Amino acid sequence: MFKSTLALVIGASLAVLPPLVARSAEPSGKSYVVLERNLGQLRADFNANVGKVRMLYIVGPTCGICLRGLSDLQEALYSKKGNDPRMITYVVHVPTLGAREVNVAPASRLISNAHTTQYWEETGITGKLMEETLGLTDRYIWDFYAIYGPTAVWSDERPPVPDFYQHQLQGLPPEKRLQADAFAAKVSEFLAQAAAPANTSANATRKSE
Amino acid sequence: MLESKKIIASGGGAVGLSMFASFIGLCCIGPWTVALLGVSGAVSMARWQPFRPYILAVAGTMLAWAFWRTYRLRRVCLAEGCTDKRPGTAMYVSLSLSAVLLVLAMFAERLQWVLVDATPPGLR
Repeated sequence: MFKSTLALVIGASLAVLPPLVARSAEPSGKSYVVLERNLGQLRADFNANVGKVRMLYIVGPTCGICLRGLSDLQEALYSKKGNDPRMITYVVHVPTLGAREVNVAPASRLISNAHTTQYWEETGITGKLMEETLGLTDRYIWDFYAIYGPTAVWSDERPPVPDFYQHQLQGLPPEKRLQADAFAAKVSEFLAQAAAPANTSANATRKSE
Repeated sequence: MLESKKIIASGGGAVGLSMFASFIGLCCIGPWTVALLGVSGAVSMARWQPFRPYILAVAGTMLAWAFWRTYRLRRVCLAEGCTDKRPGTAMYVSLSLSAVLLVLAMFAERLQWVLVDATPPGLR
């Protein structure tokens, strides 16, 4: 029995130790925007960047799978594309799985990009509205990664229908599960439709501060 | 190495792997991974997700081997008398509990979505 217990402790240590080592390497903080229930700020930011490729991510800041998704996108997309001003990202953190505002700042460090804005939306209505946009019922949308082409406009209460999306949810099409490399390739396709990079992008640099 | 020690090591390894697979599978049951391990830790944990079936397969193999050797040792002891320590009740109970743990680990990922509704409380 003692040896079984010993093996159990070793097995649990294997699970816990590597992440603890990684934890000590976390970089310092980054700001985020708190959204009202009407998502007015997000809609304004979205429409202010018509002509650019926009990504909208709806994630839970305490969900390991979501965080892995963001980390994968950082690796496959943001670290390779750099700070391309034609590529604007909105990350909306919603209160799934007991997440609170205090969880947003650490999670927001996973994407380091000058044209990315992190939001905290404490009602979770963003996911509900996206559910309606996609024509789904009883399937709260989160852990969701959408791309909007340069012509998309947010004119309704609900976000517009994404031009492309991937997810990490049960119950949505499995062929649309998040694959960061495929997602990055799709972003490149949309970027080809956008105008050539400009020298400045005031809106984007505001967000990086 | 004595036969009983091999069985204990194998069974114990299966328990450890089952626990590990459960940890991975239950990563989204609440904010516990981020609270305990931080964001990087939660990401690291989630990166093990694709390996869960393999971890469970290894655990299952180890446990099956432990069961087989335990019952084989029992038969040998009954037929020929034991040169080794005969497996006792504790051994059978431990292996059975390990098997239960392994089965729970297999369904941990699906089980969490039965137990947890991800929809924010105000929208349920």
